[in-house]
Amino acid sequence: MSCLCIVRMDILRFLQSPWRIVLTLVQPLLYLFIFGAALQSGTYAEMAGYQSYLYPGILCMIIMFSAVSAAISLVHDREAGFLRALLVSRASRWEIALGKIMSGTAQALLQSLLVLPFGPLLGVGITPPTLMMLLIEMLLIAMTFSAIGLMVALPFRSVLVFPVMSNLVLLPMFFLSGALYPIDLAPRWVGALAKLDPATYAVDLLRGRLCSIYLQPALTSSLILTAGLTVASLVVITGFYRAGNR
Amino acid sequence: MNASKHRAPGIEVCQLQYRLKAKTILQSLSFRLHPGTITALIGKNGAGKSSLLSLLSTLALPAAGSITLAGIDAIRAPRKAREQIGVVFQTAALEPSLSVAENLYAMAYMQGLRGVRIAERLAELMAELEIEPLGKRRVKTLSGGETRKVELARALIHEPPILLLDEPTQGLDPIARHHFWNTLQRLAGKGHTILLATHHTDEAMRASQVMLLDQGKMRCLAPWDELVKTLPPVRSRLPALSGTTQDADRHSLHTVLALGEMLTTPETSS
Repeated sequence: MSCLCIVRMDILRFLQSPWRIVLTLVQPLLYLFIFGAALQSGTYAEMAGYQSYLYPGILCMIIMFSAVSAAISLVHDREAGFLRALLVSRASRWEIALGKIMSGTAQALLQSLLVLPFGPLLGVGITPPTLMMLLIEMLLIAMTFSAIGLMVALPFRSVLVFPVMSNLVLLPMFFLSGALYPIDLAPRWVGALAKLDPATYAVDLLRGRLCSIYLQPALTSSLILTAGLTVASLVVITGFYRAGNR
Repeated sequence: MNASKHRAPGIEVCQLQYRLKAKTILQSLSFRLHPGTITALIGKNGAGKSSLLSLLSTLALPAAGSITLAGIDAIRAPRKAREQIGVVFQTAALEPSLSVAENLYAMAYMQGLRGVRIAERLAELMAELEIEPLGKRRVKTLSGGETRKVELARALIHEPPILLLDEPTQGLDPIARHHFWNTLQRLAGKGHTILLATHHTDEAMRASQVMLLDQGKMRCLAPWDELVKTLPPVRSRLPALSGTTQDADRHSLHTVLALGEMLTTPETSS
């Protein structure tokens, strides 16, 4: 499978800058330990353990941001010319697209695994069966956002422009998702927009698994995310097929 | 390289047309290139050289016509056709942050090689192109000449019978170009069909034949000597050359001027 080779190459590049891996964890940890601690005794003081409530949202944030940021490799490959070498190889277009989705997924999971040990520190109990289900759900979320990231990256030809655009997509998704606050306490229009946001279902899935607080059944969220993954993957694969002859 | 592979025809193009939006880039192009030959593709900027190479590389679809690569219909079976070609682009198509060996390993895998065959092929190719000492170096640290050699190795990794090269010697010094051409001639001797776009007349002279493109049409496909015989007399005055200038330089300059004038006059015959 040629897609595994693409994953290998992207992971090699990813591991070349270990400091970047550590530094990208700074922002989520600031949310968790400073923002979380501040609100724990303020607005959400009545909620038992705001930091443990926040934890699944931040875990989801890391997966989302890492998966979408990983899509920059597609823009980089295009800019460096490496994508053309892939396109004239015997690998099929769908294998290249799948490889890119899988490499974004792997990078997002690697990043998020580094934050898992902070859960028990904040009072989130993770038993082995919970961990197993959690990893499966994290995989689904990472795949979905990796495909979304690639869908956004498809038209871009410069690595300088893509991060601006990805933030434009990611930040509203993150703030609407209920990662930082309970959606039922937000204004109705925010709640209405949140229903259109795939991140809402991702956060709900993880919060349900770790804190037993669900807005909708886990199966509903999983199906919605699977639908999002399917649509985004089809767009990405079609994008690769449009790059010349099949 | 298996010589029997090259009994199949090289490149066959029939009535090829290519349009980009409303503009016609290539019109009614037909030719056949045989194994063991190097064809230099020449023409002014915008003549359609890179477009032709994109079509042959299956990176673009023609509006009409057919392309057959080593006997395989490149429009109906592009994946199978891609197995027959190695492509060197005008600019590098390597991952700069990875080493030469990692780049070649990845491309070997993408081209369907597996297991020990990858290591064997890498060793074979690196020895053939004399790039063994570069194996561990990151691509971004290579010189222009070294990068072009690694590019050629990337294109040859799956032993394709056809090589498509888009200005592969761009930016190389004369010595590096000379070495690069020696390698190409060795490959042609082994039976590869090589099509190479170039702006250098000295390279066109070294090729087996020259294909002259002008405004998307093929003006000529013939050995260099025959092409030169068909050139019209130069109307413009040759610039003053110093007394030490060799006759060969004078002849070369004359040829370039004649070619330039031919391409600026309306087509009379092809």
